[in-house]
Amino acid sequence: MNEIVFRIAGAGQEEELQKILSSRYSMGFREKGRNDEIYFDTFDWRLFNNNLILVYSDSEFTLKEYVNNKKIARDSSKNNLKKYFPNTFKSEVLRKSLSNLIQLRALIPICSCKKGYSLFKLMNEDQKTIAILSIEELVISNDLNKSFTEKIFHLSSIKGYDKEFEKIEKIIIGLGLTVLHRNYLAYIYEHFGREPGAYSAKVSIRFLPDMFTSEAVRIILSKLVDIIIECEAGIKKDIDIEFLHDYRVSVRKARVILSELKSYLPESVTAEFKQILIELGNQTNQLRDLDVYMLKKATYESYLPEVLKKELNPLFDQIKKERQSTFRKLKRYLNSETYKNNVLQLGYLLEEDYVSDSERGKHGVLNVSKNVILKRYKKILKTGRTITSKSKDEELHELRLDCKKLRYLLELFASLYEESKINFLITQLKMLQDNLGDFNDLSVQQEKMELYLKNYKGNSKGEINLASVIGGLITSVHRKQLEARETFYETFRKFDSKENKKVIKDLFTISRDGK
Amino acid sequence: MKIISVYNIKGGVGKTTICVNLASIAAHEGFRTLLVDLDPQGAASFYFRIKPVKKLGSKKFLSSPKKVFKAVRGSDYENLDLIPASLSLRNLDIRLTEMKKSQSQLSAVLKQFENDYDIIFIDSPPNITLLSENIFNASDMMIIPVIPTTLSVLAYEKLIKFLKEKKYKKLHTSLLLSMVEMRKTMQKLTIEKLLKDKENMFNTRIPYKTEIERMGVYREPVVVKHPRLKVTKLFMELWDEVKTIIELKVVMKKVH
Repeated sequence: MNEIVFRIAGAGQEEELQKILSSRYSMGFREKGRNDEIYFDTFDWRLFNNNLILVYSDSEFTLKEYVNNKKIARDSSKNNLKKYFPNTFKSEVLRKSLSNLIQLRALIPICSCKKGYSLFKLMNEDQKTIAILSIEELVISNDLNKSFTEKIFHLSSIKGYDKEFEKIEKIIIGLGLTVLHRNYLAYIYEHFGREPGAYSAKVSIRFLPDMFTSEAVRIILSKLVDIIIECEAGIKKDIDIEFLHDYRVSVRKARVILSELKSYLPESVTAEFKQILIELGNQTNQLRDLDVYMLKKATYESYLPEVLKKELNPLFDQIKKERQSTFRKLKRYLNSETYKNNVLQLGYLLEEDYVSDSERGKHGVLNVSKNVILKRYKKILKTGRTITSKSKDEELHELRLDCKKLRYLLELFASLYEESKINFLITQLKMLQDNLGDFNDLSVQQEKMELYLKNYKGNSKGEINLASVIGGLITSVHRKQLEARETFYETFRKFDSKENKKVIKDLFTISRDGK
Repeated sequence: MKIISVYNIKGGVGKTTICVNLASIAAHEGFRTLLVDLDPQGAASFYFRIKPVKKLGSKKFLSSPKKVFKAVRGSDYENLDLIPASLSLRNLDIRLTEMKKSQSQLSAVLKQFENDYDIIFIDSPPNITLLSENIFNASDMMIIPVIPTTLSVLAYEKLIKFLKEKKYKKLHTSLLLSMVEMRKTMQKLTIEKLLKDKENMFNTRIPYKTEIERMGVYREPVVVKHPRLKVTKLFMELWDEVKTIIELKVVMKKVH
């Protein structure tokens, strides 16, 4: 179906359009009505970035393609919740379409559009309807309840009458009427100064090779602080656990930058910034831990036979309680004067112009990044090669942290390097990180459960059951941890490949002439 | 997707009326419906105010899915589309005789719409040709409107004999008493005889009504124009019977 959405500037244009249309077609009133729509997406625009929209209208949810309005799935759930996850929906098709994309993020209402429409049919000489003209009055409100009104015209074709539609389209364009994007969502979003697709936890900044490193650092830290601030509201409203995750990742990235590029900023600035970041990390540690732990419930249940699955409920009920009280504590902190001052201070620290402060700060960012990245690679390769079956678990955990630092550096400075090569290195690093991450995760889980068991003082039958179930789980997790460790050697060997080393050398060696 | 054809070798028995009104009801109920007007007279297309398609010749109809898709026109009613009649399809018969698998070509063409429509209605031409055989072959159900007169019944019986010999696997036929006027004794007697012979017959009977005749004047299905008249109710009952039979058939197939 063909559609065109356009605006008319004033009564004069409307009259002209009516005149031309009625000279060629008869027009008849078809129906009048109201239609309210609410648009949903995740905070980080996962639907929008994948050419999708989720709309609630006429008592049902519809997932559509953004560009051509093609319907993908429908669901008859009521709009009575503040947020939605794929599993909240009844429709299997909708759930499947959303699961992989949305994962742990929540779908929240972005804006709503109240529409009053009048439909007119345009008919040919046989009085056959060949197109429908919809005159719509819209009241659009965003999530902060700001609103604006708009009158638009919406022309849609009837199947098989595309030629006629094109003729009318020509008329509209010929009259100089403003044609809007067919799906006026982007137009709506933009009107509120909230650009679709703009928020992302990923930081991609374009650097010029000769840019002063101190300036580059300042820009990176500013962007990270922006993300931290943007996530606050979502954390406080407890919309989904990814807000806190994005927050903490940004804090970590900032700390890595500060430590790796320490000498390119004044010492006092680095020290104070780091102090505040540590505080933010500490305040958010516990909640993140508990959020991650809660996610394990489904996994653990899958390790257990059907009969024993419910034994875990008391454990997770307790964790949930703990999680809720930790959340409330964090919320209080985020609303406190202390926190607000901390964030303000981060901003002030970044406002100063540090370029004039040191000669070192004026070094070109390309070479500086090459140095720090190469240094990190060398350390990782050296450490990884020394790990044997006799090595302590701590060594793998250390290696994991080193890999994380390297990953952040690669991603933050990616724009300085050839895209395909840097992406290749990141992919290689990711495989090693996944293995080390699994190992670490399993170690942490094991520790937690051992600790729980140690402090456990249950005597009743139910409590004994729980203890033995946890004992069984620890065994399962331990076995998986050993498997992860076994896999490490092969994974690291692949990372330590000739090809990898060649690309690393290619990208990060500074030749004698300094380029 | 189910294919329902309305067919009789005799003209003027109410084929198009039944086709058009049933399609309207089906669409109104939410079934994605396509009406294919294979009768060169083009009455169904006329009722829907849709002009014949000029560029769809019989060659393209049989071999070019794109061209067939392009020929589909939206009616003024939701969920109801039409492939209008076309004089250029008058050669379909002849073209079919030149092809292999000449009886299943229409089936192949319609299969292309499997994902787009739930029900296809075929308004058939009043003759018996290779095209008709294609219609028999493609259909899940065939509604045979019969005016209750001796000659009409005779023609019906000949048709049934022909169909039995051909052994169409999925085809279910049903006689629909059409243009019934119970005041006429001849009709009354004919109906009694038919009931005795236990033919596959719809319980619903469509009476002769001027409102139906006037469809050609106001160019709207009678079920749309006169939603509260008895005749509309009858069409709806007929549609209920059709739905039951088709679903019944599906259940029986599964038992096999």
